[in-house]
Amino acid sequence: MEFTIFRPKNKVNRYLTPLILPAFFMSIWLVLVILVPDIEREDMIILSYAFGGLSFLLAAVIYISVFTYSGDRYRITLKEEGMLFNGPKKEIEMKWSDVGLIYLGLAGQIRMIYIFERSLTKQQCSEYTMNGLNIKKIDGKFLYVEYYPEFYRELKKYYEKEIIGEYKLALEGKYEN
Amino acid sequence: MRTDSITEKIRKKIETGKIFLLVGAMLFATLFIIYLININKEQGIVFMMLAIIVFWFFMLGSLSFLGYFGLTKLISRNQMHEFDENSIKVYDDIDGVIIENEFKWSKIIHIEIESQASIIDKLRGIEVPMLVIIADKEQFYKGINKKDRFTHKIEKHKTKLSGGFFILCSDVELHLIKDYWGKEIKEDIY
Repeated sequence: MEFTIFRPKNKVNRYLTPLILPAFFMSIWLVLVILVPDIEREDMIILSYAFGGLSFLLAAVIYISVFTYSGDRYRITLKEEGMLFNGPKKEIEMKWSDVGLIYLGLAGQIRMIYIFERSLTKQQCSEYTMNGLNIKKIDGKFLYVEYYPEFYRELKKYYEKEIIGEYKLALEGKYEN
Repeated sequence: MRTDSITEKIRKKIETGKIFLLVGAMLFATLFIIYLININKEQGIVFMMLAIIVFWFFMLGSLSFLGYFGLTKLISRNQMHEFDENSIKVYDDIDGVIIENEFKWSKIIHIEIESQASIIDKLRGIEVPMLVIIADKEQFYKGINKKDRFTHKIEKHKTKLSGGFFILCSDVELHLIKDYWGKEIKEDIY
């Protein structure tokens, strides 16, 4: 079964939620314009336009990043034999027998599923996850997928060993039987 | 012999942290109030600066302790445990209600170890191993799941302890548990 390595977002989340910040700046601008209709003070004019401009700029940057978002192109397929990672530039396969450790960790505030090959030491494992994650870190020995229930359910069908840190899902109220 | 599930050292850190935060908050509040009521502008600024310094001093200092506050959510304040070659027992006292459970080593399905050291302690290379001992996953996860509602917190604790529990332990205890359980204790990657 094929999954994206990042949690699929619905359209509302993808297109509207990022607008919260620009909307916030825009509201400050509007408040300034409404409260000071007869703007004579130069600093207030500059401030109001700074907020207005900032909100438009932010909205533009966010929308450009949304439309050029390439996260959907990174996919992982779970099969009887193992996992197959497919990206625009690389294709990696890891057999279930080669998986040494699956760990539920955090990348910032995002719950991630880290998959390590069995030859890696504890030190090497932690080096992969330190200093932020990026696609370049994915190689034949390390894979990661953002946690989302559909993927996790399917992963557990194939991977029968214990997943380290699973109890954290329960603590967060995300665990499903 | 029963042992505290939160080690004496960590218990002290939690208590020190609380006092540290309380003193910090009181000092900050006092300085801030003095700043607010001060008529003399120059003196007021001095107090404001002092308040900011106190705030950051206590904020940074509390980093040594804050990480341990969360432990009391995982491990109940009065929780104790004891073990021998046959089983591990857990005791808890929640508002005067005693909860006891015994798990034979053969019934324990999973033990994992995770370091719970605070940021500052991690930088100092100190490890605080916490063991997650699970015999019945469904019950344990139900007991710790924040979305599972119970009529009373005692019920929640009973459910949790019927499936497993968390403990902090010394190196000696850790080695003994490894020997008695006889299976591989999974470690987190940090």
